[in-house]
Amino acid sequence: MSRPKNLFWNPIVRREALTRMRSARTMLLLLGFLAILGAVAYAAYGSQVNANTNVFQVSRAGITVFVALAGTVLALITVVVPGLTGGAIAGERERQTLDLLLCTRVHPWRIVVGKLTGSLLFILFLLVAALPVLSVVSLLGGVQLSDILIVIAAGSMTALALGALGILASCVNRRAAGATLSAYVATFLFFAVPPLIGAIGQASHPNGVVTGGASFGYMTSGGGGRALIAGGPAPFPIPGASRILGPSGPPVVDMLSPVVSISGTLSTLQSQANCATFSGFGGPPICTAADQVTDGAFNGWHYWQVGLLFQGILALVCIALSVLVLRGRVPRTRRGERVAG
Amino acid sequence: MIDARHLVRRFGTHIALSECSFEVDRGTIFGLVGPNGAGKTTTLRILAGLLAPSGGTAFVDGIDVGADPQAARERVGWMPDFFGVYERMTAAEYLSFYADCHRVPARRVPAVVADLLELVNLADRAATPVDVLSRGMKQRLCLARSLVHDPSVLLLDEPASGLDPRARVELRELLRELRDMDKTIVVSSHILPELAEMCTSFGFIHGGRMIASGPLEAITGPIERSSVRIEVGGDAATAERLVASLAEVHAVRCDGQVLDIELNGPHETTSAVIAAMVRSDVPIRAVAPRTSSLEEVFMQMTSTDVGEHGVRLQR
Repeated sequence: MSRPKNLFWNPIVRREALTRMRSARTMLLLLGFLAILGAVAYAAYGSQVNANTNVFQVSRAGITVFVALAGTVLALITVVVPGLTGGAIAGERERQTLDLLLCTRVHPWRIVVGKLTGSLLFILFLLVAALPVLSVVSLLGGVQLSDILIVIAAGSMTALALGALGILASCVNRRAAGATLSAYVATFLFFAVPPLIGAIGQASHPNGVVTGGASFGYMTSGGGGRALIAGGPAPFPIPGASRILGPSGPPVVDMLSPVVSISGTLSTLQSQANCATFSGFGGPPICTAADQVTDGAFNGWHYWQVGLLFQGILALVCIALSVLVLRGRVPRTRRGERVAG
Repeated sequence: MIDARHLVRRFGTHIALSECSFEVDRGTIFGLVGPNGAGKTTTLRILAGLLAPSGGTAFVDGIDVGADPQAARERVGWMPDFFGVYERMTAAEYLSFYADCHRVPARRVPAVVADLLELVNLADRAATPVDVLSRGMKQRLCLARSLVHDPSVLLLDEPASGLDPRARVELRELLRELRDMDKTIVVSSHILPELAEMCTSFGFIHGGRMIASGPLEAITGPIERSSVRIEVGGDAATAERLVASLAEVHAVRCDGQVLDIELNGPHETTSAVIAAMVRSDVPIRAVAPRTSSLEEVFMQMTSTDVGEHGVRLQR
């Protein structure tokens, strides 16, 4: 087998795709996904048109609908991915097919990557199926291709990170149900802990200035919430937190959360909606979002960019740990002792 | 073909295998006999390269399983005591998937799958979803799965478990067919009559130790007690009392006119018993040695204390 072909050889992906599409649950999931998206698009457009009589405000309906749809897609990904990946490898163990796979020439890393890819391909399938709904936005105008790409990047990276987290949960749990539950708990912690640490760090800072990241406000009120706490009083001062987190609060830790990447992305788009009054007519955004890191190693980066970076790192770490766990299940050939087969 | 030497496997403080040694020649069906928890599955998993031994070595087709388990796995077809099937896949897709996993060239996969389905008599079920196949069919399909990469050694863990009589007969015929194809087959089971009919040599494993291994005749030879069946005429009860009083006889059981006699020595001891009966004018209608059934051998083997390293018998 040629080298590139060998690299991409993965029978697990093909089997996953084959069997998943034959499941009735898949069709129900697709139906629910599209129904929710359709309802959100309808509601968002209706609220924008009914609430505004000004033609320029109505012209922003495209962006509003897009932000609502993008947020819904990302939220649905967050809900669906742990369910897909949580039971992936634990399910193989429960069906007692994992040992059979490990007996073959499929290396544990291919099993991990195959399971993850199989799940992510399904997410891709959902996104492609949602294109007709999302294309409504193009009729309304106001959304740049770059906006769509940002949302796709944020969604993909969030799916990858959560998927990898789910696969890791699946590798360390014996039962599929336990693994899925663990994946959801891990996802919740992944979302909640970094912003919470951010909030603690912010609380420990007397001026309460948000110096880095979307912090707690993103979690409570979406991207726009940042302004609510910037410069405000500390919500709940915790003595000693500044010693742990540094005097100016944690500029990085809360960006680990997908909330930052998701709400940061949406915040960027919403800021454009607020600033670029005429962009509804297809013109370029007049002002850009100010959601940028202002100090530290990521100075000048958009929050969503930092979020994506951290999510990518998290995904790689989870994949590596999953492979290590699986490798430990069967004895491996010691280096230099491979006998030519 | 298989050479296990002093295999040891510990799980924490529990010793699952202790100094387990045996050999299996090419083209034989080797029955691994033992009660539940004796160490059969542990032995098979070590040979399959799925479990590292804590001590000792095992060679499969010349490959040191401990040093190169990957190479060993490529030479072994492993069939555990569960089906391990996927839902929403047909029998042909199931085999194709595993053929792909074993890197069987794509152009050969359809032919390999068709041949295997034919071999296990499931050709007409190629398009049937795996999860709706009967237990016997699933078992045969799993046997076909273990053959997709054409291994030289087959390790079957409790293959007849839960099968109806017909499915057992079919499986037995299938294993004989595979033996004729020069496959070396190791079958573990505690259903002894099943093994007795299909295996050419045996390994008795008990408490993690291989008590004896080899062809049944070789194993039963050194057994201290042999049995003989004598049919007598006249008063069988008197004959029974006479025989029971002899020093050469360990135990006797009378069933109508037939005396089942367990001797305190090899079959040659029978002559002393017959001589005593002739001297006492007991009419003898027929004498037949009772060959030890696998079950009897097993019961006798496992009822005695196992020595420090067990007993290893060469064929």
